Amino acid sequence: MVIDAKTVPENQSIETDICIIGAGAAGIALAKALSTTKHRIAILESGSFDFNQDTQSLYQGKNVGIPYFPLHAARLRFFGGTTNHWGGYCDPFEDFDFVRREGIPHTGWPIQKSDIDPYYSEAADFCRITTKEWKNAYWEEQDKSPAFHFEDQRVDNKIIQITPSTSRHFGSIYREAVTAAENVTTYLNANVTGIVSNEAGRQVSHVEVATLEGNRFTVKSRQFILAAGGIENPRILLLSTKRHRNGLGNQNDLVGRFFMEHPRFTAGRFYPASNKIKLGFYSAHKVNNVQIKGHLVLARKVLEAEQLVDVQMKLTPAYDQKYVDALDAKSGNSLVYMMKSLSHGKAPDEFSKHLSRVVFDIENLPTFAYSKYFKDSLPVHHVELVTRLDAVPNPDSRVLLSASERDQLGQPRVELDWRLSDLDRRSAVRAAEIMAEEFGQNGLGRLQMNISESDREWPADTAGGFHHMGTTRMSDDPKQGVVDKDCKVHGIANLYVAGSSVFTTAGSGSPTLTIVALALRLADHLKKGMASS
Amino acid sequence: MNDSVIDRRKFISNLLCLGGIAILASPQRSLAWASERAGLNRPGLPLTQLIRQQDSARVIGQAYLEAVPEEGNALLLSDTILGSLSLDADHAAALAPEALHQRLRERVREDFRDSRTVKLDGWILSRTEARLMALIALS
Repeated sequence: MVIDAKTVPENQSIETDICIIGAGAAGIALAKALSTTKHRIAILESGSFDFNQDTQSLYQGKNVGIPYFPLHAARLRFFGGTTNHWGGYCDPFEDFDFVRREGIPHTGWPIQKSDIDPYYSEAADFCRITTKEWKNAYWEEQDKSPAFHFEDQRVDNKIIQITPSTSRHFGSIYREAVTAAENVTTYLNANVTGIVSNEAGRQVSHVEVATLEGNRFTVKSRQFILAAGGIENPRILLLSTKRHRNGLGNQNDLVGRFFMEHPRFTAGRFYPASNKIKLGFYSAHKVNNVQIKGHLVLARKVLEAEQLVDVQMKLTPAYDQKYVDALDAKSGNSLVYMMKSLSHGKAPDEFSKHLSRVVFDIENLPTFAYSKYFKDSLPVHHVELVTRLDAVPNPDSRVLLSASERDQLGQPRVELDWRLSDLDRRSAVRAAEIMAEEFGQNGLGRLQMNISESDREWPADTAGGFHHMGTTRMSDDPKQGVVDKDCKVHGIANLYVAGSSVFTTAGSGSPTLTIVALALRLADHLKKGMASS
Repeated sequence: MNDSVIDRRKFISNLLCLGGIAILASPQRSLAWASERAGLNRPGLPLTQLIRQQDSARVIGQAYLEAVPEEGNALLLSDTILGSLSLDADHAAALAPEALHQRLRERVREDFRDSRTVKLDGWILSRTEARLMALIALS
């Protein structure tokens, strides 16, 4: 069932068994998994089924740390959440991601990979990954595009699978399954403005909801799950000050801290020994009808020996300028457009304009055709080494409430103080140096670095991947984390958090698959707990 | 960034995008080799002839000399390079250019394997190849 929250009468109190705040990857996975129970489930989604600018602007905030994307552009506030612009990258975390790592502070999850492994398979189904095979050796054997192999094994390959573009928007894919479930009620346009606990402060009694139209109501539930994303989760907890002056779950000043992204930037350029170098393995391509992409990574033994965070290198070839220019040629693009139109039995719009472009630039068409249809064979001028870090958990990197800016509902907006550490920089520098040595040793070419340990700033192209992690981190110790190993907020009996805000470390994988796996694990935990009670 | 750094980067990229160790000229192209043997009184001459793009190599070599001024002596550099190849000047002169080329290539790979590298304007080069270019800069 779907209810527009704008139609809920003022001050009404809605009762349910499980209240899920947010309908993104985690919220939808939870709702779908719990829809097979007899419990009543309410989803409170701030947006509707489609993008709405007014709702989206509730995400506005200020970046006060390392320059970052505008906060209202780095996530999406409607059914499906940020999966609505998801790139589809899927790879599970590795054992290594969960352990405490010598020399890297604040690492070590309270769970092991084996605790989450049983859920990765179902999560892969949920993410529409067709092959549950993650071993590099398997893909390298199947793949016609060769991967690099380095003799002393300081650099490895890593494969990610890519969810087809038609299967990435969970809001569209699972809308029917969620809304048709008899025990699930989805409230759209329902903004949670605070979570209120009982007088003892140890149990959530209800959440307060407001719409942009002005009506306000409450939702009471036996269990509450906060699944609003890595920035909004801490914001809602920090806004929940009725019984907890510093915010719910924030008794140790941890909510919003440890914000992590997967920082990425061009750490260097690799000039190959041969411009015929084959890089197909490192671009998105299909193997056995599955889209995959290879990266270069530092081997675990190197990370351990040198106490570095995980580093991935994406290889992005840059071609000789004449081929780049040829791809932009109007004549070629006009020809492609006309051929496509005609193949669909349609007369091309502005036929004479396109025809004249082709006729007057006909001598460049062979280069255009070669560039477009033989891209993998184009001479490579150099290769950009786009580096991605599993950033060091840093308590000073944090989400805060603004002291001055408020949203349309009168709530403080967020400020994001994203910070990286010297260890992050050292890891990127060492990764580039090691890659350079491997390229040189194997006669592949030379590398020019774009980053140095003495730099005071990060490279100008430093950005993230819209991955917001760590702000309600998981730890057995309430002084080290906001949620416990079951994703329950320390000190609150019936409040859970889902999503990448619970990640203790950013991990070597892309977050979505692990977000879903953890959500499915949480659903199982709730099912068992509620059955026994 | 000043102009000299920009120029140097351009030179280096021109040189190295031709292919790392392939910057060493193919022996067949070192037509002047035999006739230049007589010039062994010029330090490191057989070595310097192995690089085809002498102008670019000179720019990199100059950067190396700025970074390591204590090596700014042609005789010293020549001896150091030959020593790293387990050769002396007489042995080097006696070697066919192909053989010298091969030894140098192997040494460069060993440099990378053993982290004997030098960073010049962000470029990570084998210490031996950087010294070779420094020798060209001094010649």
